[in-house]
Amino acid sequence: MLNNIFLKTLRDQLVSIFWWSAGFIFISIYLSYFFPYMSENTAIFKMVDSLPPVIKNLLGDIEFVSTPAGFFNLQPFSYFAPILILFYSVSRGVGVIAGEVEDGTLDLLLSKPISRSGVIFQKVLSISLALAIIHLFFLSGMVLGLILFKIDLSIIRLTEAIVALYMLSLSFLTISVTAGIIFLNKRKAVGLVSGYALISFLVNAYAPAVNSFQIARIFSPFYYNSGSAPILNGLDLSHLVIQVFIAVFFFMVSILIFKKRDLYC
Amino acid sequence: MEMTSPVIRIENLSKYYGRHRGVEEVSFEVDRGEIFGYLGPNGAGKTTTIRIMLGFLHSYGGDVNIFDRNIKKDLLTILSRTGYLPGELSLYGNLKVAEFLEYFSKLNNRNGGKLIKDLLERFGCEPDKKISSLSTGNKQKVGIIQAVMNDPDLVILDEPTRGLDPLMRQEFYALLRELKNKGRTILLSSHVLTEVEKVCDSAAIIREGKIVAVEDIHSLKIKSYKILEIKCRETLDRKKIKPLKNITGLEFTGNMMKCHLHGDIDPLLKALGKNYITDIESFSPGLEDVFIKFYGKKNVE
Repeated sequence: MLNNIFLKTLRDQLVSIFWWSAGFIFISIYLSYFFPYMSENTAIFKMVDSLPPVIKNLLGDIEFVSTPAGFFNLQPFSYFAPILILFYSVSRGVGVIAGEVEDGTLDLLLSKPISRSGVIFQKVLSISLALAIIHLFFLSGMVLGLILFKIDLSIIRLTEAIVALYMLSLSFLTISVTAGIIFLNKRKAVGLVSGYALISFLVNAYAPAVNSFQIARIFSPFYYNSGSAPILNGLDLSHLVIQVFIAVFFFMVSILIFKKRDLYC
Repeated sequence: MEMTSPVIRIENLSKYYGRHRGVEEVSFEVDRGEIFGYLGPNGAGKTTTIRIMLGFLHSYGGDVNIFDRNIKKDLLTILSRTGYLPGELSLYGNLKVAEFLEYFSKLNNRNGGKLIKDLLERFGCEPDKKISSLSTGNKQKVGIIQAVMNDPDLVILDEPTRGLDPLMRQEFYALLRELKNKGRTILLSSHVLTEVEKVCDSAAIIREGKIVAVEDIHSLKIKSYKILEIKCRETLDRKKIKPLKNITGLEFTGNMMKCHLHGDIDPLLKALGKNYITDIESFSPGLEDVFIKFYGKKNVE
């Protein structure tokens, strides 16, 4: 199992992969169970209707909540899932190099004949695979929920929403790797990336109501994840391309910085 | 070509951390099959030199060639033939000893197999123990094993005996001699003069980032001394003790005598004659004391 850094990183994540997958399956089934009650509850729509537009925007496309696509677009795809998956991406991402530095193991690793870019590549690939597995279980949980509670929702749309979410997780993974290399300190890197995630999340959520946020929205990875509401409207290809670009761009930046970086004891 | 040229050739190596000095104009060479000591007090620049040699730090100026290859161009080739034990050793606590060694062996594109097994037995390491449960000394043993398990041509050891008990230290010195006999080259960084004297063929002495001297071990041994404190039952009379060539820094306080001993103790014991000795204590001087005594501050300023 421990033939290379990729497999070692994967092995280190096995327990996490199990629990995160189990958690997503549970959330999916729970939300599917909850949907019929939500769709029949007219009081909640009246209450939401009376809210100011800014708050309504923050809640997402609540008007569609009586439909399966609208309901699942709001929950889990607008809040639960992105926030949860970012925990995984950010915590693992900053640990790619900063974790090895803090554990004091980077010296031994880099004393072996592996390039710095090779270390990042294998680790990022391994975490990307772990994220893919978690997303796959998430999709399975959602499908299981739809079947168990006889909810009519396109599996293709559901898959598209999960692909968009996966791309969001990859964007934040490579952003976190870069932050970890800049600071060589997990806490500082998590602080920076979490701050950026929070701001970009709020900018994207408030943008429909606040004019000045409209342009700022394009700097938010959340916009390319949920801006086109893939579960309602299908995957926006241009958004997908931009998400791939963000992930690849920060991956390249992380390698460039790491190659130039002096590594102290 | 490689057989005759030095395995390590460092020329005018400099490194600064902002305004702070790391190393300045460091130069030395290490030949094949040599155990070379890199001696200096803490913070002198030993680890900085090693970290540049392994590509962890980028140098400000100068050149490092190992196996006739430049570290800036052929780092991975150099690393594939080099074993390394860091000064501040940390291992993956979640792995078992055998798993850890196997993993690092694979990263070296090798299969340690029998050599790893032999080394584990030799150093009394349990392969199935989790690394997080090991004592500092046992972790150090695992670190030493990983540095030599793939039979590298060059072994770089930064303060390798830290945490080892005296018995294991002897075993480690024996291992170094075996590697030398096999033609392997060893760079041993240490701040302990006696350790370098014991195993090295020659040594570079670094202080405040600059090389003060590169000496063969015989010259170092001459410079080395022990501090002795000898307690007698009665007050010692300085006049009655014959002056000796290998004794310096003689001090008398009542029934206590303090001196620096260079070489064997026998002449001193004989010179003490009929005095009844109640206690003898021996200390190794700090490296800083040796530097000041033999190289002086002027040499490095």
